[in-house]
Amino acid sequence: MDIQRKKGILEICVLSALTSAPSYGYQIVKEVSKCITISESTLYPILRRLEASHAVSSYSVEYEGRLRKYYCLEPLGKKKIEDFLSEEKEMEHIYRYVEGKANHE
Amino acid sequence: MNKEEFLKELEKSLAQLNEKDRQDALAYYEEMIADMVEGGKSEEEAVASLGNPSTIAASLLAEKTAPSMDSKDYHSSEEITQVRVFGEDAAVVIHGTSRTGDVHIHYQKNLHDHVSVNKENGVFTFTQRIDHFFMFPCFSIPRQIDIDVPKNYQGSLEVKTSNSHIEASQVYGLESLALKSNNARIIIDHISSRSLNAISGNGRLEIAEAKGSEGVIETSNGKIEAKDCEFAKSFSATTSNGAIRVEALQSDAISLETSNGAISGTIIGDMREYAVKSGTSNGKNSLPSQFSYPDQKKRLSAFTNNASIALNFIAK
Repeated sequence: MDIQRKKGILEICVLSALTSAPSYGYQIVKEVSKCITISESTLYPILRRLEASHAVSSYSVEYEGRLRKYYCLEPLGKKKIEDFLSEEKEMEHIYRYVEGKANHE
Repeated sequence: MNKEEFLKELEKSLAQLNEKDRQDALAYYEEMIADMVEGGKSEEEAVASLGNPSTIAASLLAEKTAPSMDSKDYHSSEEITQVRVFGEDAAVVIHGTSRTGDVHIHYQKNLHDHVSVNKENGVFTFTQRIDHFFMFPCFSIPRQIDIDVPKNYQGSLEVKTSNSHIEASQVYGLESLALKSNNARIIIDHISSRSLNAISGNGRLEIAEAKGSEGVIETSNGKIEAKDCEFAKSFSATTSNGAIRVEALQSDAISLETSNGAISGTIIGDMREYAVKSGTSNGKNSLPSQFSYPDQKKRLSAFTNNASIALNFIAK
């Protein structure tokens, strides 16, 4: 997959992992890995970017004597997911068109 | 390598970063290792699965330098009174937020994009364009520029893009809002701006809950819908190939013009207050073609060619 495209898709997957409840790094990697390969080191810059663009916010919680940073989905992040879903509908249409042409040949 | 060695190595490799970013990265990896260990891995295994600290650092540094165009911050409250955003093939989403502070523009820079930013005399300009020399249009990936407007920003906002839509919602108290897309829809929802200008070349225009003094809406090949809009001084909607529908429109000077579509809907007020001019060549018309007498301060004109006009006046 094209790198830029994968980057965008990973972002959406990370946002999706936060829809039901705020989550932290390790948990997000586990969740997102169910659908796409993501490493701990890939996740970090994505979280930074999402936070900088206000798609997610973060807060730290003390856990067993150490800090755990939780990420929480913001309205802008929700909107990104919605936009992605509506875009995918358009893409589906394009796929079908391309597929149709390819089969026709 | 154990956790301590890994973090020390990483810290050294991140020397170029500022203190805050470096500590943030270290905290992330420290937490991650602790969680992995808790998940059943040994410290060495956890560290080994993260990869080489210098490789991690290199990609973080690259991220930091290359797409720093991603998010641009500046002070809107103090010096900026005008924000201009120009995109190419990029959707633009304008969103008001309840926070105060700076206007944020977020853009994920693609490989063949040129992005430039300029700030001069209170005008902030963000320009994104595509280097077509390298770019096959069919490989084009969806681009989106996000503009995040804080509640304290009361200047002007001008947005132009091509081949993609513009959406604006929940932005209040602007001096002027001018949106232009040459091949796609413009959607406006919950906006207040002294003047509003939305022009699309080939897309529909949908406006709901917009308030201001003057509103101008124009498209050449799409329908126009305006719902619950209030423009004290004037409101005009023009299209050449589409229907115009207004719902609970309120304005002292209304002009609705299309050539191949119906004009319908409701206007708040009493028809007797309006000097009316209207006409259609091939359809029913609910309005008088000309109706005026002295002292009428309000004006309404509605013209179409091949369809009906059905406009009703309703009480507030």
